[in-house]
Amino acid sequence: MFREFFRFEIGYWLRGWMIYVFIAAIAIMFGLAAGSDSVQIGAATSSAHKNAPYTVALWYATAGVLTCFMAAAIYDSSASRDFSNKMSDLLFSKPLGKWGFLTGRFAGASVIAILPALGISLGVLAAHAVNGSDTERWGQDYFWHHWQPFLVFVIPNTLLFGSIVFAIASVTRNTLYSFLGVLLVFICYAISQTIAGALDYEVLASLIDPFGLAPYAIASKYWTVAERNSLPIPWTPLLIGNRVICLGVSLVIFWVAGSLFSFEARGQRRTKKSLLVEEKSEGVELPTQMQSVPIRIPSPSWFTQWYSLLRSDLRAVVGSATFIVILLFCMLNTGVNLFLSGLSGYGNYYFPVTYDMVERILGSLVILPVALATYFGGVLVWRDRESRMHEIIGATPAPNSVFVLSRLATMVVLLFAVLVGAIAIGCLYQWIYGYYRFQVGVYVLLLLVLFGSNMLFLTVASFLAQTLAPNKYAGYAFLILFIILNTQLWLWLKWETLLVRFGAMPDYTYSDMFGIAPYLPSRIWFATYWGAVAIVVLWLCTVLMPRGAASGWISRLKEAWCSLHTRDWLIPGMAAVAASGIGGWLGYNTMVLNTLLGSTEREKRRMEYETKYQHLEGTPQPRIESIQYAIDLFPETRNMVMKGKQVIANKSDQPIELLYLNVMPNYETTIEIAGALLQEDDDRLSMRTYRLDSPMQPAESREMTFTVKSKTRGIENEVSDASLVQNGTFFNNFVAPSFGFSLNRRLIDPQRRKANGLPEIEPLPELTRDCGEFCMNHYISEDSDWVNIESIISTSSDQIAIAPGTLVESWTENGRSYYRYKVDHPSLNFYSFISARYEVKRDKVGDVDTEVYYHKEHRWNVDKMSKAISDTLEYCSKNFGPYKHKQARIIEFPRVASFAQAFPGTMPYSESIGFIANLERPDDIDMVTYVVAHEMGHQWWAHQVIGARMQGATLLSETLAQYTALMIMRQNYGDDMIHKFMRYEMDRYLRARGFERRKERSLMSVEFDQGYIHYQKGGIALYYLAEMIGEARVNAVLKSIIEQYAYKGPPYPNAYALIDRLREQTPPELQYLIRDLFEEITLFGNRTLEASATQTDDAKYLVKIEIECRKYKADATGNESEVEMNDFVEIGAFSAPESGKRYGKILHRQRVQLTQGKHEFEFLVDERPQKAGVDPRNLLIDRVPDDNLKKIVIK
Amino acid sequence: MQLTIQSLSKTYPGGIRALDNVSLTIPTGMFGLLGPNGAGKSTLMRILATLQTADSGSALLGGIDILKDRVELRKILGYLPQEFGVYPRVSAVRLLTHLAALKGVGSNARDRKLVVETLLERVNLSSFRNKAVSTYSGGMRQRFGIAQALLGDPQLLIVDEPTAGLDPGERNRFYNLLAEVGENIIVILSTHIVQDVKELCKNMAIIHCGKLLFHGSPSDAEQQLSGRVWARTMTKKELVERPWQYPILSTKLVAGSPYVRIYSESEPDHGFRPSEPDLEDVFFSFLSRA
Repeated sequence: MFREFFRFEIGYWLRGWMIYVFIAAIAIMFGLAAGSDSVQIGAATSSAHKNAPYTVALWYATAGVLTCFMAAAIYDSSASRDFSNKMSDLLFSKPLGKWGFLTGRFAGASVIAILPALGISLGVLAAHAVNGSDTERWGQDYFWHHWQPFLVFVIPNTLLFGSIVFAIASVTRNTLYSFLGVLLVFICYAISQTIAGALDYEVLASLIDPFGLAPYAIASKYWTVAERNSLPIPWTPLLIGNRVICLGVSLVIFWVAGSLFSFEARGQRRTKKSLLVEEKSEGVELPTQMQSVPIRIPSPSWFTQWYSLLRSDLRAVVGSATFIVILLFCMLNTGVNLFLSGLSGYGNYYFPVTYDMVERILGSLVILPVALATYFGGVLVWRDRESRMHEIIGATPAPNSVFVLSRLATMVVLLFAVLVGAIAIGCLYQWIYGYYRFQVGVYVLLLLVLFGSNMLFLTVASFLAQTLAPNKYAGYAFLILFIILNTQLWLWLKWETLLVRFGAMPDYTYSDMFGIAPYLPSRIWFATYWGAVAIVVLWLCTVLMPRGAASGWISRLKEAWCSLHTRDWLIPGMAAVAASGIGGWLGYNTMVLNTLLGSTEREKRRMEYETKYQHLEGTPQPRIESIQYAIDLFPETRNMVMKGKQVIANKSDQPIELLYLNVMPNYETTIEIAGALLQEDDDRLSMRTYRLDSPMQPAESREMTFTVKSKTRGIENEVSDASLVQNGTFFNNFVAPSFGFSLNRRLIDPQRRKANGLPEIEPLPELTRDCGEFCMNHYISEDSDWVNIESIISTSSDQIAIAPGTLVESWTENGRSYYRYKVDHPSLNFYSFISARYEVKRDKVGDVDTEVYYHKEHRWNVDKMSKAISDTLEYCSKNFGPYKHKQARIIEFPRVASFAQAFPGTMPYSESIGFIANLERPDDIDMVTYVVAHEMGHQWWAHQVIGARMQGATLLSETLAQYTALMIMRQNYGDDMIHKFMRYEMDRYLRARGFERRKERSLMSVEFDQGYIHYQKGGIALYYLAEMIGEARVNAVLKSIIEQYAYKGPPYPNAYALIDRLREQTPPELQYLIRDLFEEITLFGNRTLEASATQTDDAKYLVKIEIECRKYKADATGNESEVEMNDFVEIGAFSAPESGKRYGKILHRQRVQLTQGKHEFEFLVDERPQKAGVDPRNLLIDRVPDDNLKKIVIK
Repeated sequence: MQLTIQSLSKTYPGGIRALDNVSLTIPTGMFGLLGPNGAGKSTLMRILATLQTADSGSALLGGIDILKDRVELRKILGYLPQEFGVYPRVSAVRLLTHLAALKGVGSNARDRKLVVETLLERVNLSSFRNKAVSTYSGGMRQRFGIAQALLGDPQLLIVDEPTAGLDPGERNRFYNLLAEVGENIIVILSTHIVQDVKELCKNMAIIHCGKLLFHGSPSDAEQQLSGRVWARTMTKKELVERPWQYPILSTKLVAGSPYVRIYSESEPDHGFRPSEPDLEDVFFSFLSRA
């Protein structure tokens, strides 16, 4: 029995075409992902091999998301084929064994359903064969590296999916419920993905992920490039647990379904009953006298027909059990996701501001709205034909437009129901979290209007696909194909214009400060354009709608052509005219008025710039000494005019005859220098060459004026400049022209350089002790040192405009507000100009004004910020040196970017990070203070001492600012908080290493874009050093650096300025720390093997631990080798956390000198301990930080 | 009013010629369209019901060109397809009201309700009006079908094989209803059951393989065969051996023995006796000659 069904099932599928299409689709997709840089699946961007075992395994795990739908189709068909084809009566009247039938079918379907995933290996191997000569990008292919993920992921995942779909389909005999089953699995997946990033939820995420991706991602999260290239899937307990759960659940589901399954037909009883009722009354004779029916010649009213149809459609679709179940399901999913997804990077929560709720709702609905538009689009279009009413309905005089527009209205109601439900959940969530600012208008705008319009266009496409398709499933396939083409084709063709991508509209970012004002005009125009196109598409649906017997759509088109009246062309004609008119106008706006540069073109220009101007590197150019700005901001029109008058000086020893000036593309720049003649205006590369009629002699100064004008006008393809907005303008002085060959304008990305045949470059010159020429520039600007800045800035009267320095005076003139600012001390030529409607919180520390400029609805953390400014000011003034400005300002800017940045005395801080942070829970890491302290730290580390333009430059700014912030945090919150914070920092550092695209550098030779080194590792290293040699000694070093280098240069200091001094301050037995922390990449593998405690007579506890220590050095690609260890390491114990807290207090801390290998220790603690182990505060960089502590067994 | 069909042809993709140059004139009253399964009846019906296109030819009803002014025709058309389903879980009243709205019957909801109630009364479904049509038995469903076809007082009523699957009682009731409405309008009834046509129709046509074989009244048809139909009972052995060469019109079993009717211009041998021709003979004689 089993064998017959098994063989029949396999044969059935192998004779069909579907399975081959599935395999081919997967093979093509992953072949492209492996073989080309432009197609990406999963987050596999790193310098690992294209066919690295890690990548292949990750693909096998993530492909489950795709192949499960294929598997669902196969299993569903296997389980319900007998019923849907009405074979069941024939088949089930044979003497079958139930389990033989079920297991045979299931096993056969399983063998088929696991096949599509093999397409991954096919694709990867084919891609390797085609372009695999490059050994840097491609490693060796090993059988096991493909086979193992297939065994680990594909087979259990398919069985899980299969058992669910098969069980539901064979028990309920209804495809719909199988569909819901698949969705349920997806929700588990979505939840696990959402929470996997939070350290506290890793175990939960691992156990509920149906695809096994989470445990694998967690096991491999710290893998370096070398490990990604070589390691197979590790058998971690979490992964094994996950797979066992997966297989176990499959088995249980299959068994339960098998028990419930029976061969008997359903629904017999009901039919019989209704027949009986009828037979009884059938005897009634027809009345012989017919009543005359008051019938007139029908006068169909379009609206009546439409309304009746709408009611019928609504009842059938929106009122159906299917939809109600899906709707409830959406709500549940949204709710669960909202409650799980609120975590930010450090385990904190944000206030549930409405735009964030909208983004999280969209994130949790994922593809559900798309799936709904697809699924119900098909249901609606095929409804008459599926219930075989189509001939009766087709013969009524209702015009086709009635049907099409009724379906459209039904879809609108359906989608709105889902979105309105989601809004309700969002508001409920806000209310539960005590956030009572319900911005229903924002919900409606973002979800119903903006997202809704996207869905509406998709629905229209869905209707057309179904109208053209020979059956509903082909319609689904057409639509999915269309969706893929509509996104991928244009990418592949490199057509960036949105005018060809059906339904595409410019992206937007909502900000509490400006709403969506900068994006509104373009959204409206594109929506109108696509609206007109949609009308034409709907008209096509109308014309092509089959009535009665379906025929090919070409003959339908011919038929329609013949029967159309002139008046039928009116609306589509007008829509077509409108679409082409608006399209043309948008084309003119996006491509003529504004320039539309594709990424390829931009890359090309970077390369041209490098080839054409590379030779200028090192050519002496004037340096800027002082600048006076006159800036007029026009927030309403998103425009600005910047006039600058600057003194430039020749600080070289040669005369300068030619001036090379970089200008900003998209801005109109005019430059005037006395006696200078424009020799070349390279508009394409935004570079101008001027010839001076009398060369600038060494030490000579001249005056230069310039005007930079923004060109915000008309509609852009994507709003390119979000720095000029209606409320929250924020741009920096880099819009002004700059001198010489700019290294930052080269193509930097190593893979793109390679793809374009450019030689490898190091973004920064190598660190050398004697830096000579290289020390003559710092790493922020290449044409200036310390400059005097004075600005007059004007804006509309309801806004405050801010420039660097002290506010000297302000006045109003012609209904505009004017402000004059002057910097108190010459500073870096790097600052911002800001304007918005602000509330201001003012305070004073000594003679320094502290100010927080904030959006009036974001006052939650303003006091905290103000205090953090004061605390840092005091700490740094005391420990490092004096603050040279008379003000310190935090200024909120819109969430078009999410960073905080330090400029002289002013620190713009994004709306989306600290301002909406919710720090009300005990034990929350105070990110607000931390970020403010970091930026304040920059007032010394960057704005007083700035590193020379070479590797290690950011050690003197970012790492020291990080150190400052950590000291402030420790001062405010103590060691416990730092412990928690360090875990996150360590996690970030270890994760980021695996994504390194060039080489992992040591801390002292860090590249300027290696944030994970200069922030995370740097902070950890300096904090640890301060622990080991004392905060006072580190601060003494820093103080001496300030004394020697503050506001000095050129020449500028490099990393040795810090390293040498630290070495001097470090006692001989700890000298190894300098090498480990700064000069090399050092990692530990410390763990606790055993931890136990016994209570002593005097109510103390004697803790006993056994630990193991290992120390490794890593090279630039992450290859590790173990080294001798003889280091000072802490051991210690924690008490249980108080209720509501997550960390207990430290009961014992002891520094011991350890060699590699196992060690045992005993110590006494006063309270009942909970955990004990080695390096309890995670001060050392440890590959597996979580096993440092072990729960104590109390004997 | 009459329906004029001129050289209508339809070939399906794949080369099946469903209609081959068919010309017909159909006057008011019941018109029977007779033909075996697959003769092209349904194709003709669907074309007349505006649900399919013809490759060539024309069909005119009064002033309406059926092939072009589809919407105009649909306003005065009642159509009961050979096979139809209904939306699940929708009651008869609701479904009929919906169809009435689509058909444009009545200018407001009250009018429509009156029409629907009257029609349900007329087809004797009043007592089941709130039951889902999908739970109806075959006969009830067919009566619902005729009720919806009668919506809007059609001038042209097309019923395609309406009695398939009905028991004799249901069939009779259905035909009574049809006969009644067929007095003043054109009713086209397609069937492969000769008896039906004989009982109901003043005019008829026989089509086979897309070709029109006969067009006239049933009595005319019978007249044509007068004196040419002969019949006798025989043994099965005789029937198998068939020692004569006359075309057989039909073979039936009467009390277990074959009763054979043959066509012959002159008196045949082998003991055949003259028999009164009936419409079935006409039908089979056309088929055997085609």
